[in-house]
Amino acid sequence: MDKKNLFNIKKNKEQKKSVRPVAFMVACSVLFMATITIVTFVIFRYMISSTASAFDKKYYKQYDQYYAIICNESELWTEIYNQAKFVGDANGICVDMLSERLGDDYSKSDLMKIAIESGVDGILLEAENTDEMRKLISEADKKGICVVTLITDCPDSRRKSFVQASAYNLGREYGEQVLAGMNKVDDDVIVVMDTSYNDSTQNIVYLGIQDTIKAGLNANESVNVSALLVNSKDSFSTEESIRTLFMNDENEADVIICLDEMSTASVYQALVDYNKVGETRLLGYYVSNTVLDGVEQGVIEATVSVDAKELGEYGVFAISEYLESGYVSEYFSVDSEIINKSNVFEYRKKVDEGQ
Amino acid sequence: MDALAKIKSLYSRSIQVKLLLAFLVTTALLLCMNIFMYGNTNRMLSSIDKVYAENISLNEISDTLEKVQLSMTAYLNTRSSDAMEDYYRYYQDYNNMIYELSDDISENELLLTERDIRNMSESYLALTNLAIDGKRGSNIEKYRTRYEEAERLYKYLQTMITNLNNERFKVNAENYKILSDGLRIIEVINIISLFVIGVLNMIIVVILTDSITRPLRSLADAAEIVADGNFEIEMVKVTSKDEVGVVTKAFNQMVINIREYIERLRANMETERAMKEKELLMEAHLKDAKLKYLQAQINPHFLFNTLNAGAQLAMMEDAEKTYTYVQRVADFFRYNINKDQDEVTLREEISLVDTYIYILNVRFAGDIHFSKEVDESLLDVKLPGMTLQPIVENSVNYGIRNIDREGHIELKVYRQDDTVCISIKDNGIGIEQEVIDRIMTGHFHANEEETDSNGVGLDNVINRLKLYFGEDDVLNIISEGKDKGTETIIYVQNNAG
Repeated sequence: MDKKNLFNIKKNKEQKKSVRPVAFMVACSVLFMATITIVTFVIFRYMISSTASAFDKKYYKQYDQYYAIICNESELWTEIYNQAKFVGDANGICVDMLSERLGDDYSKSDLMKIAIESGVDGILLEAENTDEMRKLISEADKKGICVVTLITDCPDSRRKSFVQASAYNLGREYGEQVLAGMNKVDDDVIVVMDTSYNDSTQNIVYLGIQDTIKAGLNANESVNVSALLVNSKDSFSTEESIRTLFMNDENEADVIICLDEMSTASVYQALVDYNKVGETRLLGYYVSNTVLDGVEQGVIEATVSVDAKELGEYGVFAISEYLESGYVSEYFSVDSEIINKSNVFEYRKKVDEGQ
Repeated sequence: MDALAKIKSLYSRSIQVKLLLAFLVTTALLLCMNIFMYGNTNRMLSSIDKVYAENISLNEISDTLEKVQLSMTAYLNTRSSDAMEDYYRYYQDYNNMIYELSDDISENELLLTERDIRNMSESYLALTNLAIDGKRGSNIEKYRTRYEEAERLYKYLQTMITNLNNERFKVNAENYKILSDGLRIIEVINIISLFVIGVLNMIIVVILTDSITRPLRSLADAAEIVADGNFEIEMVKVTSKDEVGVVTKAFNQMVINIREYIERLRANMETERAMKEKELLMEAHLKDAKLKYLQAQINPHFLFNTLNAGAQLAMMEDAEKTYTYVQRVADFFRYNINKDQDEVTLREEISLVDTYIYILNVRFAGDIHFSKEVDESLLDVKLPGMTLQPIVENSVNYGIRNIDREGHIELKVYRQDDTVCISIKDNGIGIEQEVIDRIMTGHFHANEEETDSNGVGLDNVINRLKLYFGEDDVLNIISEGKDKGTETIIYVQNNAG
């Protein structure tokens, strides 16, 4: 290598040396900006995904069909709703509990009207045996909306199907439970019945109870079965009626049978408040946590568990079956089970595992 | 790689490009940062703007719905055409508005409510139309029923819109909080980014300007050293091809040139000084020789003319020998007078020696036996005048004058390698080595009064020879001891011959 080349190489090295720090700094700056861009982009993505979701449809699942559930709010119905929603979700059906979404200001008929005018595809209805309800069901039917009643029915209406725990069987279960725990010959049995539904279902249950007790009595035994009528539509009236029952000394019941969740909870509380635990037997309805606590503590002798999941499932099934084929069975029956101190622990375990 | 090479070549080109690069890079970085920040903030603000747009539009829907209801009621009450006009206008507005609402069956409750409102609104508008038609057709029963139904729907709708608005407001308030928090984060990021980019820019500018000023500084340092008169500096490194590079190269070249020039100048001055010195010395010695001669011979011209007159007189008297003698004496003195120039040939010098020996032999009746052995080719060798005769005179005066035996003087001119040797050898009393040394070092002074010398001493001859040839080894005196004779050799470096 000659002297000139050596000189050039040295010179190039010198030049490289002076260019390198600048190039390095520029590269650093560009790298820094790229990093910042990525960081802010990520922040943006995060914020947009957490904010734009409120504005943008694309962030939400879309459904082909829309069923509304119209009911009074209770744990049973929440359970039914959850199951129906679960089943609906899997089948492209949006199941929505109107009272939960729109607030408590609406009556069932208001909700029916809203559902009809909103153009839902189907309605799962906790029905009342009233003309207004019948009219609304007809109106829905006219608009091609399939109405299926759950637990309580609206007879002679244009509802397409009715899903319930068999009312008479339920009555028999209660009757047998009453007989099993009887210790006096002249027991008074009071059945708390909600008149607001004006539904034959409760009458059938009542009949079932009466028939079973009568059939199970010996000749010298007599049991007086009577009904305490309450109206859940009027605020606090159930609670007040039950309190009145306990305050009236003459009217001392040996067995109280409740046919809905709310009255069960009310009687349970009243028994504790008036120190009647052990004196008055309580047969409840449905298995909320409160009711199960009562059973465990022995305040509630037994309660009837209606399979809410099955109710929800059948309800959704009935509507989609009708919408698909135009036909559906008019009546679906779901299982019911007696829960008492002997099996409450297992039941609770089963429920907890199920959740 | 090509791009990098291009940048490098650009970078090395000129200071202007470098400065431009510095400004461009930093400005571009800052500009990018600003655009980026502006974009960020803008996106954020537009997101925030969107937040309450939904609420505003819902309020408008609610207002328009109320206007539809009021104008319908007004028409049903008064049948006025104004109310009718209002009704249709609001009807149209409302109709347009509800089509902005979602129509999807969505899992989102708010969107589902929008769908309900939209569908119910359609039913409501249909009912109001029917009510208006009923009124027009004076069908009291029909329009009253429709009106009641419409009013019921109206109430539902208003409640639902209000609820939806509230729900939206809740969600929007949360979103607003998220976005405003986000804006704050973006602000912080922006400030940090700006700061970091600013610092990076400053570093870039510092590096770039340093790359410009560093060579300048080293150049300035070097220039300062040079300005102080020190040219023995290390060359300044050329690191770039820019103007500074060019100036540095030129500076380096200039320093080299100055250094060389000074070296040359110094050598020249040295030579000149030596020459001048030599010239002056030569002049001084010659003058000295002449002065001494003049002291000895008061008026050589007078003597010469007198001798010439004597020669003529001898010729007239036919005294041949006297004539020749006087003539030769006259020649001898003429040589002394004429040859006042520095340079003579060997031939002339030998001729003078011949004349001198002749005169002496006449004086001393042929006591001096003189012989010559001369290489004829060397006769044109130049040497200072009045060189050989004083040596021969020395040989006569100090060598052979006072010996009892026959005195011999031998002149030899011969070549030894490149040197012309002129040897004058006698068989006289010889000289002691101590005396030789003193003669050679110039510390020997003979008593010239006692001799009949022509006045030019040996030391004068030696000095002139040294000056003329510019060397020290110009003359050597060899004597092997008492009565062994003396040989004086002049060495002439005959480069030309």
